[in-house]
Amino acid sequence: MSDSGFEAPRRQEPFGVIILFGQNVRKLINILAALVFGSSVTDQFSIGLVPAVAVSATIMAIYTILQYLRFQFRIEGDELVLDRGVLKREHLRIPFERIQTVHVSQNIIQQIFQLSGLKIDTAGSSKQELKISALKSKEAQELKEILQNKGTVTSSEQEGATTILETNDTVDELLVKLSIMRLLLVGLTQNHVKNGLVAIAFIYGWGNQIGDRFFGGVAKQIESRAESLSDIESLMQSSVLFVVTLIAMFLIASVLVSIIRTVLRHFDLEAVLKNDNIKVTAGLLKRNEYSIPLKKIQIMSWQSNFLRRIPGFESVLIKQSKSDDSSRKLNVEIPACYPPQTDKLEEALFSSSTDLPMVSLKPHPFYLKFLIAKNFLIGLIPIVILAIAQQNYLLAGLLIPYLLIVILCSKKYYDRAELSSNGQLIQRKKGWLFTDRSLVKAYKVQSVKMRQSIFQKRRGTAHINLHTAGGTIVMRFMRQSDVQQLYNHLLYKVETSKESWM
Amino acid sequence: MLYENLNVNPEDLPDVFVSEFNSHPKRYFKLRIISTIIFLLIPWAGIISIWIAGNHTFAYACAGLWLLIFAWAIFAETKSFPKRGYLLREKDVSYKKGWIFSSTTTIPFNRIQHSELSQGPISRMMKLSTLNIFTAGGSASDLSISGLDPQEAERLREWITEKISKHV
Repeated sequence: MSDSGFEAPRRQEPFGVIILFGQNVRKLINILAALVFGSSVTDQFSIGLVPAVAVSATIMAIYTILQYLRFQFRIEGDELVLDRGVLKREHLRIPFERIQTVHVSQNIIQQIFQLSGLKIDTAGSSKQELKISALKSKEAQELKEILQNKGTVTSSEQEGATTILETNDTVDELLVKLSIMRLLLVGLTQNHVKNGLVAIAFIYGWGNQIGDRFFGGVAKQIESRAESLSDIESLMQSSVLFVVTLIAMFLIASVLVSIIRTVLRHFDLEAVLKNDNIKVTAGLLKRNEYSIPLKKIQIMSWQSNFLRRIPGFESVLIKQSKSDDSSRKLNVEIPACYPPQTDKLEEALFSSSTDLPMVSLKPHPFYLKFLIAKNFLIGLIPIVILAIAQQNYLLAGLLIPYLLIVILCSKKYYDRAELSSNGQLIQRKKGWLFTDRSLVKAYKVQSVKMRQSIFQKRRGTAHINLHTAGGTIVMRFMRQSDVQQLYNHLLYKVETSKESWM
Repeated sequence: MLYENLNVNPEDLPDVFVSEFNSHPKRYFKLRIISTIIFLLIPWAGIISIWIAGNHTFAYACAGLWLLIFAWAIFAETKSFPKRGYLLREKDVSYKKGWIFSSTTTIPFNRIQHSELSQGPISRMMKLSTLNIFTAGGSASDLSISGLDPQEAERLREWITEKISKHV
């Protein structure tokens, strides 16, 4: 690989100046937007704005050119060497094996100039994320191959010659390709409630003009809350009658938002299995290309909902090791996986571990009682308050059908909850309307935690948390003996494993 | 029996839950009580300003409530302190804690990224150290063991560092 053309120090493509300028402008606008809208805009202020913008644009143009000139990269042996920075000069050396993921993307400006950006995530404690913004698309691909394959080859050399042979043959196996029809189907069957909440958060954040940073926080909070809300409770709460019209409007808007979001994100999606890598390309305005070495996948989740069960597909979430600042999610999604594709994915990822039969562990029956009590209490309080406020004690009669619904939902939810394992692979299933099935290899676990309250202790149940570098798998209200056995067994598996888990 | 189809008998696996955990030095209990008291002094700013504002009955009520919370906090600390303990085995480190809500965590050495010692101002006065253990990817699986004798903490850290270096 000596003639790859990346040995000599080099700059980005000349048009890169424009792309860098675009990025800088965007950063500046983010800051300015917060400043301008944060303070009330007065006339004097807006008069002063014009020269201020002119001056900062000039400064920024000069800065961008310097930035472009200073940025040099090359490959030296097994390292990527980078020089960058105008005011604070940096010289970076990144050994290939430290590189976690490389991903190629193209936004609109980059598409116009036929250039691609390259983003490199490194493992572990270093918080840096490296970005090369302007490369010829073909070169970006080449560089990516070099960075990734050298990394994987060096790590597979330890495991024997067979794996090296495998990395050499380049067989592309198409996994999923989303046609327009299917794309719309994915959009229609999104979790609209969640998307609607995200949209509200967006409008709220924007309406308050607090700027990008704040919005990100709110959206994430609401998104994570919406995820937990997608349990039964949200359906219970939304049954209050007088908000029906509001909900209808909200739903229509949500469906629209869902479809738009889906089309933007997953347009012309293509998932390919190639060289022990899974490659996903998608996006309308901004085309992203993610390539994840199968070895580095931490958790695979198959998610579905009651709408998606009609056409019969699931979406797959691939969770990789998170970098320290969890601001950027490294999870890659393949929507619309049908059973044969799911089988193919499972085969590629877990082929060696699925031979043994899985032993299923069900939660303790106390979990059902807990679910019923918890969900009943959530509805009980608003109904009681409503009854007292309206002096209409007949409303208390609502409690009986409500209790029946709670029992039904809780039973369904409880029945679906299951942790199974064959010693090498762990599978967790949960959810009734919104289902989630997660698979993780035992040796990927990096810490185990058992939690128990004194009330659980008396009944012999406990929660178990399995932490991986890509997220946590929680199973609640298991039998204590099961938890302890799994705990000890997982430690044994991890401690005797020689495979690289990241 | 659950894992009948495995090549290892689960009965033979080393069991974390029957192990004898090491407890903290007594002065860590003092440290925890002192920090609880310091934390619970904050509401007094509110109670005193209510008193100055002239609403004496309300101030008394708040003080009464504070006393209840204070008594509960001390009681809970006394109950939960003996539950704390750490355990170092050949291949992993464990920590357990909690009275009403208890938890046990174990991190194998071959999944630790690095470890470090730290000391706050009060714990420095009381000659206590904290051992922080870091894993990859986010902080969910990190572990921090406070209230260790500095020499013991240093010994643990050296032990862990030595174990990690063997795996890399």
